[in-house]
Amino acid sequence: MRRLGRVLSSIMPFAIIGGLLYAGIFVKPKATGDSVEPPVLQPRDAFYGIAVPDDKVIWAVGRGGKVVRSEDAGAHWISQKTPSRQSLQSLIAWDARRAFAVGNQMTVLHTEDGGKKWSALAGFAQAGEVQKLIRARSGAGGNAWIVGEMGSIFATADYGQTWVRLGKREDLAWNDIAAHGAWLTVVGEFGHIRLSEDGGANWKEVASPVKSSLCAVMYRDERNGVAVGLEGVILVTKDGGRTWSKVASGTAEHLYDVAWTGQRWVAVGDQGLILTAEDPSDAWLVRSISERSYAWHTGLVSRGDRLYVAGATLAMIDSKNKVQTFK
Amino acid sequence: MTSPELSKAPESKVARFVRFCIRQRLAVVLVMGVLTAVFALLAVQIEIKTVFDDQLPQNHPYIKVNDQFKQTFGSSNMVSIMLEVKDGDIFQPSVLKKIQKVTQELQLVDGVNQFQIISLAAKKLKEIRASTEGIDIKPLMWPKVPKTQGEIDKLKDAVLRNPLVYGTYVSADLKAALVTVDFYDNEINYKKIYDQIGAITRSVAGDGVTVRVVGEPILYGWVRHYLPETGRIFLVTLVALIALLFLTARTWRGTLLPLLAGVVSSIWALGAARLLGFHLDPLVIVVAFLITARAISHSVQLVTHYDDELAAGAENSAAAATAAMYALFKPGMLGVVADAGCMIVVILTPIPLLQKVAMIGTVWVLTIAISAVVLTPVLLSWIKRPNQFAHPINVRPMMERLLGGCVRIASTRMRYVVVAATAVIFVVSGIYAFKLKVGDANPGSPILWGDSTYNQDAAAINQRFQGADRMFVVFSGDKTDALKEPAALQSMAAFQAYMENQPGVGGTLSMADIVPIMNRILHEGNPRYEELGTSFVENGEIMYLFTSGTDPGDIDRLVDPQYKNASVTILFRDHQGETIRSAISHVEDFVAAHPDSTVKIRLAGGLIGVLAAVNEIILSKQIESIALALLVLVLCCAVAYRSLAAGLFFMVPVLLSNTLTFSFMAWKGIGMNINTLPIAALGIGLGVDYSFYVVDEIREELRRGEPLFKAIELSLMSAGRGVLITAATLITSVVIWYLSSIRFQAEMGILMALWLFISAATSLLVMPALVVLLKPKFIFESVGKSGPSRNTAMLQEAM
Repeated sequence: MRRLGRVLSSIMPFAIIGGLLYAGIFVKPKATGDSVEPPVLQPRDAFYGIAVPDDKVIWAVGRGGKVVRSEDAGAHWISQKTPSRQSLQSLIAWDARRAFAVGNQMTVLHTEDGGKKWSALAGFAQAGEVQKLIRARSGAGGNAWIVGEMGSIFATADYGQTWVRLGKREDLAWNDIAAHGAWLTVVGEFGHIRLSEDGGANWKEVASPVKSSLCAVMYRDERNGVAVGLEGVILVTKDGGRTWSKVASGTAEHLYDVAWTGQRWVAVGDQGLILTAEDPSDAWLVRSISERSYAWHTGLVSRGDRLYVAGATLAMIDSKNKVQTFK
Repeated sequence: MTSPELSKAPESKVARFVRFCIRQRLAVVLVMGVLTAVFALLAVQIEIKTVFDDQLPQNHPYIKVNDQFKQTFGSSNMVSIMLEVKDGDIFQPSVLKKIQKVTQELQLVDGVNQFQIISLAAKKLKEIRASTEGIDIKPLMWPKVPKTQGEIDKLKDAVLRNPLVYGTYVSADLKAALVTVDFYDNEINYKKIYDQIGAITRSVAGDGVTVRVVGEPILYGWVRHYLPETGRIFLVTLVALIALLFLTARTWRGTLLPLLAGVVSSIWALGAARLLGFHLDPLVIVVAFLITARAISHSVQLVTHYDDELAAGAENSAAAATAAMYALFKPGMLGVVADAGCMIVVILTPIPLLQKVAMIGTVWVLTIAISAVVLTPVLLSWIKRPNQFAHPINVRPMMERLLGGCVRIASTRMRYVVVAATAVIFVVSGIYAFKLKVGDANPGSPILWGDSTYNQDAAAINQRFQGADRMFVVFSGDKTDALKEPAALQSMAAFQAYMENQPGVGGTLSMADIVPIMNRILHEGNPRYEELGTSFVENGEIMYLFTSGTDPGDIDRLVDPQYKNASVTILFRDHQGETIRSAISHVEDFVAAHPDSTVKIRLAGGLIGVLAAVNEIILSKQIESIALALLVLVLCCAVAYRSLAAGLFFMVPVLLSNTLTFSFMAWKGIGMNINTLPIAALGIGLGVDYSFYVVDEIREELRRGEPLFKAIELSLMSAGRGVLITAATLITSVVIWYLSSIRFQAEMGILMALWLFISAATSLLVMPALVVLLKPKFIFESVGKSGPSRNTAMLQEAM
């Protein structure tokens, strides 16, 4: 027993020291905090396109192929997986399940199940086509159109099953398209406007009062439409797009999208601006969406008495101009 | 194991040495006086300064990356100056002029890297515009400050449009502007920087503008600024120490000799440091004081023993001094050697500052062998009328009552309570000690108080901007122009997005931020084109356009001219150990999640990068040095007592003082960092000195044939009294440190007091109880074998 005690008391010091040495050499400090699950909406995000297929569902696409969706009017968001990392420029949704997204490098994605599965539309681009598709617009029935760089204009009449090419290949980017009946209006770079009165078979160049790019066009009825563009340009037509005249916008900032709410015209653009007018030929009211926000917006959707904007921020504006920026 | 024959040989050697010292006392004192004078001449030349480079583990990969890229990507010396307006925003002519003034005058500060002064008023911050003629790139506010309201509105507009300025150099609410400036490592002089930047900021403060400054050079400037105060506190501590020693010892010898021991030690150590070409870091002064406390303790033991020898009937001063020197030679030298051994192991920590501290500290501790163990008894031998007291206040009965209590505890069942309580305290504090944080435990600098100007400035800047503490990681390609590849830029952008989501990260910056902005500008400012180029050629063109509008070197802070290495700068709101560790692990996670990346991510530079390296070294090395220090201790005890069990026995006070200290640090939120590590390392040896004296005397009394409890009583009344005197006086004195404006010193004062208290308490309460309980062989073995009675027998042998 005493021998054992002696041996133990001789070994103990070295056991303690050995243990500490082992700890010193092999134990490395570890960070306790795990990586934080990144929020769905991040400060670096940019959303170019937005769709609001019903009162609850908000859907947006943007830079780096990001697709986000909320099914509770913006309270919670999920990020949807897609097969592409290309930036998506625009989104159309016929309902909460069926949607198309278009973007860089001729990317066209579609979903039939609310975005649980997005798939790339095969055989859309011809060989060597890498242009950016800028805007998709949907119409009544299964009609939809896509415009983009290199003169791209595409149309479908069956919810995107089959597409036809309407425009010829040329070094000109179309930024938006608007349809009423068989009449189609496209607007694009350098102030170009073209009109087709036969669903896209024949196009004619419309005289444009500006040389700067036009970014968006919208009609409130068969005759009255508004186009907006860079450097604060606002053009108005009262004859279905045959003639356009420039009106004073009250700003020199770029304008990227325009919408008709049912009561008034709204446009959004750079520096957090939002412009409104009941009669587009009258003076437009220019103000900031929210104070100290200088974010740009390229997407504008009106639904019910609410406006939804997409860009450097995603936000909803209610009828009393109260802004909810989604986070 | 110890046989009288064996133990006799060294004893007689010691006896011969003691006899020689006392006999040749004049020669000994003269030689030491001359040496002290020489060292004093050297010591007064020692420089007091902080060298940041000294704090870095030079072989750590992070430090190598930092050294390679710090000149362009931003070093750990970066200083941020914030000008904050009370009313309105910064876009007022007077405020803009102030920003310009600061920017211009920083050019003249000593050691400044003129290419790294960045602000709204610097030439480097540009406005980039697409115009009909092409790209127009011009400085935002250089060389002239706008005067008219129109010009100011234009500037404001340009700032708001520029994401490289808005939020980074102008706060989001437009109420503050930032100026950042970097310094060359080898030319840095903290005092000059602090004074010169202080003069600049004072000249622009006022008229509704508050100026705030942070950065390591400023922090160390503050420490330097408080140096006179540190000196004054040191002086007050010294005076208090003298007064308390004088009160308790009641003799001039009991006051002046310990003090002399401390002073001589300091002079020798500082002189030696100067000889080695070392300088003194102001924050290391605490270590100096700690060692001085050791010298004083040893000397007090000798004086106390001398007094006891006289009281026990020694013939004269010389005889009493000889007896004291002889009796305490072994525990004294054991204490010194063990302390020195514990100190020297710190040299294995690959941080130059700590290695220098370890070397100076070891030399310093070793000088105690001369200044206290030899010089004190030699001087004591001259005392003429040793039985007079210098003042009538007698605290000795009080001390004896206290010590009597300790004796009663050891000799009654109370000892079980004490040992059990110790075990509980050990376990509890041992568990709690794991809460000790490596790195800084709180936001702001732990060196200064939370309400200090510096820490308030840091908080204000971190609140307004994305963070003042920076880290850069380097994205390295394998060939020239590798970073123009879309994949490389995408990888950088993805990394930035990932890092920005981590807590503690305020923002990131890289060339992958510039390319999309330039791309957008090239496309009429259309945000649909705010993206990286799709090809190597496109990115190359974009970067070419960007650089063609700027001066050579302007883009160096983002990428090298060959486009082979680029920086991603990450801004942090604090540099707590936890923040840094999680940031590093997130970077590593990202690297692990992208194994097929075309570029290599290399960690890490800037302040956060180097701190990460330092913290990594410190944790593992701290445990390692505790282990090695314990090994040294065990070996010292094993050699001195020829028993491994002795090593185990003396581990008790050491381990206890370590777990309690770490618990205290964890509780008070004191992190284990570059400044606290040397003190903690020194503390390892510190816990044991008092126990050496007490236990050794118990052993000696037992050898003389005293019964156990009588031996304990004799030991506690003599060695124990010495412990009580030093502990009480030193604790009371170091508590004065709490008044320091430097929080680090205040906390270290408390820590030191705690240490002294623990080691005194263990030596007076726990060790005697353990002796009774465990009856260690090395203490009891020689009982009855050799028993010269106290004083006289040994003296005859010695003289």
